[in-house]
Amino acid sequence: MINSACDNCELNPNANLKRLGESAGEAHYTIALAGNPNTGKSTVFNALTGLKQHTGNWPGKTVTRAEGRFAYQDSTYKIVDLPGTYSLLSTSEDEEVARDFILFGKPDVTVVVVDASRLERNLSLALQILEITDKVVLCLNLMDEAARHGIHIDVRTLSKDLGIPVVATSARQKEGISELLAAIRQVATGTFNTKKQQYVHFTGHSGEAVEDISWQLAQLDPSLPNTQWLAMRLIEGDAHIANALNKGDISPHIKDTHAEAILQEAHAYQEQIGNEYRDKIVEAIYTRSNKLVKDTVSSDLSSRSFRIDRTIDNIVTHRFWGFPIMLILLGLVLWFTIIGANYPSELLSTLLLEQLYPLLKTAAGALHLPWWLDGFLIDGVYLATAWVIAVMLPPMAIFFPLFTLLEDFGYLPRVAFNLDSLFKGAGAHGKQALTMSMGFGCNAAGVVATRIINSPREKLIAIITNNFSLCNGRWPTQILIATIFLGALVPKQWAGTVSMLAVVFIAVLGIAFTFFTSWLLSRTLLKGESSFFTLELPPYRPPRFLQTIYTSLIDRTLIVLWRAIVFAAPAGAVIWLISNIDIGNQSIALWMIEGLDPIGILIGLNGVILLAYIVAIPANEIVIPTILMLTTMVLGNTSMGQGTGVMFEVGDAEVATLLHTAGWTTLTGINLMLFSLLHNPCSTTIYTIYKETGSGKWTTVATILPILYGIIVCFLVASVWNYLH
Amino acid sequence: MQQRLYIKKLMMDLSSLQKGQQAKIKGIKEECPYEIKQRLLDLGFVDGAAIRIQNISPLGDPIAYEIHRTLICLRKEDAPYVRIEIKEGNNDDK
Repeated sequence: MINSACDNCELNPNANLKRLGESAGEAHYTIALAGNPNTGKSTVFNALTGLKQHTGNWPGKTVTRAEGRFAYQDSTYKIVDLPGTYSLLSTSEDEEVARDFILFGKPDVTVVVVDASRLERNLSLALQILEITDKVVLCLNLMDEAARHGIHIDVRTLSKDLGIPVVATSARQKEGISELLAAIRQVATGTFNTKKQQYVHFTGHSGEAVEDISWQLAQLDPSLPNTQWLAMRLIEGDAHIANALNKGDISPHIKDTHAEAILQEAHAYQEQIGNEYRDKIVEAIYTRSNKLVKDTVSSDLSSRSFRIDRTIDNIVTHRFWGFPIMLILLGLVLWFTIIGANYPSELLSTLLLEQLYPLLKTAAGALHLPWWLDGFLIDGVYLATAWVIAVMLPPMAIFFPLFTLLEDFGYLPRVAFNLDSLFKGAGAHGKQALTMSMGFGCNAAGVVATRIINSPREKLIAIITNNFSLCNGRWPTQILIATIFLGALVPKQWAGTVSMLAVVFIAVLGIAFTFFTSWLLSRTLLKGESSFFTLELPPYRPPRFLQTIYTSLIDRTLIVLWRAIVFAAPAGAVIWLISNIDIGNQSIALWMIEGLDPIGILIGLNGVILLAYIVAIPANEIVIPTILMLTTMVLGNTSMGQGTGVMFEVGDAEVATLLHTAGWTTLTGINLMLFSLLHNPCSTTIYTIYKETGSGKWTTVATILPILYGIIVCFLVASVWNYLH
Repeated sequence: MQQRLYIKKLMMDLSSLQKGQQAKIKGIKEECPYEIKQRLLDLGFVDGAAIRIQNISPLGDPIAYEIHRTLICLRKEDAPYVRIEIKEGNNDDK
């Protein structure tokens, strides 16, 4: 095949980019992607690989390493997205992952993604990486934002000063990606000869110590590219690096006795210099970084968007307005979700339950399926799945994009900033405010979001308490029961308001339980004080509506929905089976209801509700239909419903009549609302908790604790109620 | 002499910084636990860095500081570890 000149031209690279996603196989070159948190690393990663890593405007989205592939011109590249870190000098887990990969993974190119509008701090990391390897491309990302903030960067001078390619990009707009690819290729193939130079000059005692150890290392292995950095780490007393040196992992020429001697000297220096050492190192790095910025960046602090950012911050964190604005925004998101979901939910349920369901039944009849197979598949599996889709999809498709818009804009870290003091009081982490809000959408998604909390103790607290955020799957239950049992107690014109307030009360009660449980755990099972907390408030970014709607549908809605379906389908099968298999003279379901009834009555509920919660563990959405189906079965009322073990939906008025006939009182309604807030997480969430904690013990705690609360609270309410009546 | 009084500088820690004041960091105190010191240094709380208060949380704690053109929030109990020097008479809040 003959390539035209254009095909080989490095100015026409996009024509040669093939995004290969996660596909496996050998790659010619390995690329590491490093950078500060929240600099758009994941966006760059997605732009190169075509994958869809979730991105969001808060620091710490990527915790574990993500890998992807792409082919560019005649080579294939493996790209590893490292966790975002502020530095490589500390010993946190993220930093070790990033550092080990750059040091031991020996990537062919390390792309350091920096935020062009916050270059000073970002360059500090870049300089540290340059101490380890000089095969670096500096990606000045978020250039559009920098421009908006009146910041101008002299890219060529910066590149000359650092001796590496510097590429300006706006990855969100896909700008500069082709230049980035060209630079990666140049460094990988050696076309661009990066110049090893001494980037940071250490002075005083620390400087002498580093120079000495570095010289000794270079004597033993002249090919080592990063002796100054190794020396720095060894004097600092980094056990990890010392160990690697001992084993010969860093250089085959330095191990055992040689290594031992150097380690001893490094230790002697450490004793001698002491505490000052680390300060001096970081100061030297920042001095260099400051100088680079001074030489290459001009900025206009009075630029309009800079002032706008400050003004928004002054409003949303205001002493009086901060909290009301937060509540109003949360209220608006919930209001849009509840109101907006009504219509599409109805449409879906008409389509799936009223039109497709009879069609399936007719088809099954025409095929002469045995009644049990037809019932099992269509009345059991199909109906449960259809229910979950009809009830769950519309609110999630509204809630998640709205939430993502707030996240993208940069508002959520401000919520954490406002609420931190309360969480600190409960011994928890300020970022739990974010995971808690996320839980209002879906608890499983909220549990996954706890990855942004870097202290294990506080992360566990956030995971265990996430279930107290009333999730989307439970809002319909709350609204229905509030309308039937509480709205009906007041004159018609107040009914809507009263039921809405009752639901909001339950949600706020959930928040109260979050704080209470965090506090309780901090004093018992997870003893400890709230650990050191830092939070970076990112600059505001104009939200991109269409892209947000698209990605949050793909990233969150569909993934969560899929998991729910996976769990709901078997639940539908179980419900149908227990209603249709008889032991003795009645079905298993009836036996269970009779067995559960005494406990149910004691806590102001009944056997039907308890059984519904047992079989509906997979998805909270199917609680109400299951209750209705079981109630009809118990009453033997054939004028409603569609057969034994068949879930169905009827209007509010019919539901009210049915439940009142079955002996439900206002107490049953209130306690059902409470129990819907305080019971075990759905199985999707339980599974997610297990995956995130990797611990059966904590999964059990997270599962059992809310149910204990539920039983206690319902029992107390029932006792008080019965005493008053 | 007069000039001296004008640029009178006070050595104190971050907890005494008021909104509207400009300050320069003068290192981290010795009693600061190692892990916290590491994090502070990583975030750019180094000798010579300019710092000022951007926002105070509605509940009074934490406080968002502008440092190296980024906003970093610290809780009240951690602020005293940072030694600062306040530039007096320099209200740059306009």
